[in-house]
Amino acid sequence: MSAVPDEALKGDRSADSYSIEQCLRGDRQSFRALYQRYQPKVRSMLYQLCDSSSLDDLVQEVFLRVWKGLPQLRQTSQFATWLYRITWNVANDRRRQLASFKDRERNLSQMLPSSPTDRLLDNLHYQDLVRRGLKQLSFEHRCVLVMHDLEEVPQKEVAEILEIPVGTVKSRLFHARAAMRQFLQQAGVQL
Amino acid sequence: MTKQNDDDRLIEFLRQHRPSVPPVAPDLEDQILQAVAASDVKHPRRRLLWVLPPAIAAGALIAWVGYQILSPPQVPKIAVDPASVEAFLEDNWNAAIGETPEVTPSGPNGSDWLLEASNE
Repeated sequence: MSAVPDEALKGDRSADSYSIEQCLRGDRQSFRALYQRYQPKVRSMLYQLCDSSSLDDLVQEVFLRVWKGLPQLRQTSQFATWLYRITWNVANDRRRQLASFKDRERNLSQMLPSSPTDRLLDNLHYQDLVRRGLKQLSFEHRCVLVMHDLEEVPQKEVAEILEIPVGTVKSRLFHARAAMRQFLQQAGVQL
Repeated sequence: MTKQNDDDRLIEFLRQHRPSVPPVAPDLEDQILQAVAASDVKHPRRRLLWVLPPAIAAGALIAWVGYQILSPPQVPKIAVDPASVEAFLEDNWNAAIGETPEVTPSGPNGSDWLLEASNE
């Protein structure tokens, strides 16, 4: 599924290449243009992959890595793929940080009296369901679902971003959708 | 109901109800640009660096060709090298001198002439 018309894609790539050339000459205003062009998508992707508590910090981390890495970018026409890969890396780093933090939190909570709360029944709003559904997926499945189904990145580009074969993207997408569908149906959503 | 329809419905539902992204902080853009400025990363002129090796090779080729064309025609090395010329002259001279006693006896009493010369 490719939602971006080819002509628009070529135009974006041409604009990217020009902006990158200017950035390499030290023009920070061109970097501002790149930021403005890609910030919404990077932000959205980070939000779907991570928590929202440090979203601005994560966005800043992505664009700082982009600025520092620009001299190593060989194919300026592949900027978007490269940028989304950095985004994925930042999200992955954040996930690991959170995992170690949650381990510590879990150890602490085991020492405290537990309060039974059923969050799933408290919030049956669809947005919250989707958020929870995404959260219960494995990180690999969530990445593919978010990139392809929510951010409309073509499968081939997802494969390049994650450095996996297209067949693996299809397979992960299949399992991610199945898990999400099952989760929603169990929550009472009729699709 | 096909699998494609199932997928389309699911994707439509997810896009319609995707969690809305919190609004971006108004000063985030300036913060990032400031952080970029503070990172002090010097971006090298990558394109110019790529040009350097071919330019050096081309320059060397032009210099060599120019030298071949513009330099005066070379004379044989033996005539230019002073040591060779000197050795050549010395050999010829010695050969000429060395043959003198055999070739030019001054008269029927050449050996007498040599004795008289040594007595003087």
